[in-house]
Amino acid sequence: MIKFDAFNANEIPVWGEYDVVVVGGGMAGTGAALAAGRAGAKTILIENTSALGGLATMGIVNIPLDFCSGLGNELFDRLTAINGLRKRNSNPEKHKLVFDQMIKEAGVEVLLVTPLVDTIVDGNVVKGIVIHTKEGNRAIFGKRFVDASGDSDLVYFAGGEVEVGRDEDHMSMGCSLEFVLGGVNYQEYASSELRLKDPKWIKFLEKAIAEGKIPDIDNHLNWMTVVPDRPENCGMDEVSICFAHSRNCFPTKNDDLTRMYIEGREQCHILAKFIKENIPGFENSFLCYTGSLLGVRESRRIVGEYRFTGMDIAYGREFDDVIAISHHGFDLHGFTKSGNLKWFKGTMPDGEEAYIANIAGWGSQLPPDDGIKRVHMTELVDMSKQYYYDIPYRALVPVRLENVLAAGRNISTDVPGQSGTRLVMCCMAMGEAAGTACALSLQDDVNVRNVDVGKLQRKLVENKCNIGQGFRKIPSLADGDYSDFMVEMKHGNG
Amino acid sequence: MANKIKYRVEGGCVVCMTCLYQCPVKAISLIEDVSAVIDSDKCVGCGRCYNNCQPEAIVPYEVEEWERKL
Ligand SMILES: Cc1cc2nc3c(=O)[nH]c(=O)nc-3n(C[C@H](O)[C@H](O)[C@H](O)COP(=O)(O)OP(=O)(O)OC[C@H]3O[C@@H](n4cnc5c(N)ncnc54)[C@H](O)[C@@H]3O)c2cc1C
Ligand code: SF4
Ligand code: SF4
Repeated sequence: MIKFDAFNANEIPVWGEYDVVVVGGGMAGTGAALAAGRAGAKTILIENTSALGGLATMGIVNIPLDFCSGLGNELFDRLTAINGLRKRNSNPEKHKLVFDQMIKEAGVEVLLVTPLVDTIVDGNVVKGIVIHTKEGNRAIFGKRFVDASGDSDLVYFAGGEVEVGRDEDHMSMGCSLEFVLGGVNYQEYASSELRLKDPKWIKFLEKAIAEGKIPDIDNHLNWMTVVPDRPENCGMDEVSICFAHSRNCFPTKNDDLTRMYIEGREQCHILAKFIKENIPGFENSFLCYTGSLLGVRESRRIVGEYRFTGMDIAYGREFDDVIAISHHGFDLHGFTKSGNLKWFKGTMPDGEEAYIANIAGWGSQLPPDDGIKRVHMTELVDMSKQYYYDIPYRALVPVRLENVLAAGRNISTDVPGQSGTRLVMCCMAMGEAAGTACALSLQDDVNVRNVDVGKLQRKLVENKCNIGQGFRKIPSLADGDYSDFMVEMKHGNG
Repeated sequence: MANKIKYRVEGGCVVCMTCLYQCPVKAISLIEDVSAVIDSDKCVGCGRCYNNCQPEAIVPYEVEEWERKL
């Protein structure tokens, strides 16, 4: 039994002591725990739900996009071996299974169905966390911590600096509850005119909404994935769909989360019926289930040593302390109304404001016609070269706190910056970097802020991570030759 | 050397841009908000775009057969 001042100096039994404590078992947290465990650190992973993978599994976001890096390539290999991945469509159940196996093999302890409820802090150092268990609260002590909770719960509970949502009113972008339909004749849909001519259903929905056939839940189909290793080509395919949307979202408020789950389920039922009645190939489809984790794209983020911004994406910026790369670009979802915003309002280097569009275009919600100039990213980046942008190590390091790193969708960014760093495989790459950095900071006995970033980068590259070494020279890797790196990337670099 | 198989974007492209960054010879460009397009002269048939296109919008074709149709 140990005494500390959280919860009015109650006595709380100690669960254990670890080198590295990772909170949140999503893509980022699982990546962090695997990396720390494999580097020899005694590691524990705390997850609130009943499985690992977070949004990518429990949230049915089975569409792992972005560059594949070290552990990400391994995940893809293992999923492919058990028919759990086809192109960029993954099977959430197999994904959970592979994570369970990888965590076990790495010797990482894991606690499922266990939420973090508080922290034990001494000045700028987090000493431990408090978890809630069936037997009451327990304390876990650690030397280094990774906040991969998606919502920065750990940093927030520790009194660290955080921000939520967009700058003006702290509202987060639209949240989506995913749903799965069975009994789909995917071949029929795939060859339908709708899919071939209007794959995002933009014109189709405009008409249906105007005719009152369906409420204005969103003005386009966000995505539809065919779940691998389900019946195929026999009219019984299973697809998962991102379409439902709650607006005016405050995902760190439990009453608003509850509202969104209930609203999301209601929308999924409406959409399933509408799709069954109107989309070719879906005549015999039925709603299997909705996500057990609400699709919160963006919420509370740490305030870090560097705040990664939309402008960094717009210019495809490189940083000497790069630890992961992405190429997705801005991808915001309507805050208060339908539509996908592949643009944001930024400030150009000359101080002038501008609406800046993604390479792919403007999306389905256009900027207002208010005279502000419009710039296309293709005018800002050299399109003849590989486009990517760097995520700097400093965006993972919270200000002030000395032994905590963030990883995943809650690193230090503005909202447009977050929208281009939250991709599934990018989150895993950030996690791998954070876990590796924790192990390194323990070995070298320095706080996370003072980790030798060059050493970290060399370690990541040794572990076959893609930090852009195939595209350009990174100072700390100046001596190495990575010319054959791209050839090695089995799953491509996207 | 060109392979016998090349790839083209048939329909159903959601402009996720994944293939754009896969292509070793930069054969892929975009019609904004509409579709990716593969330049058949540049494509060397490596299949990377095809293997990573989530909505399966990219399809292979045999070069000879395709050329005959021209
Ligand atoms: C609707 C939607 C569509 C998307 N579409 C795509 C797409 O097409 N392609 C793509 O690549 N990405 C997509 N994304 C983004 C991507 O899915 C996520 O950004 C990414 O999976 C986040 O990973 P993470 O590990 O950072 O966070 P999460 O997956 O959110 O993981 C956080 C984990 O921490 C746990 N946790 C939280 N609080 C606590 C606590 N207090 N105690 C213990 N555990 C806790 C949670 O249960 C969860 O498992 C989409 C996201 C959403 C929401
Ligand atoms: S097959 Fe290879 S070369 Fe051809 S377009 Fe696709 S990625 Fe480029
Ligand atoms: S990967 Fe497929 S969906 Fe994405 S841009 Fe290329 S063709 Fe379009």
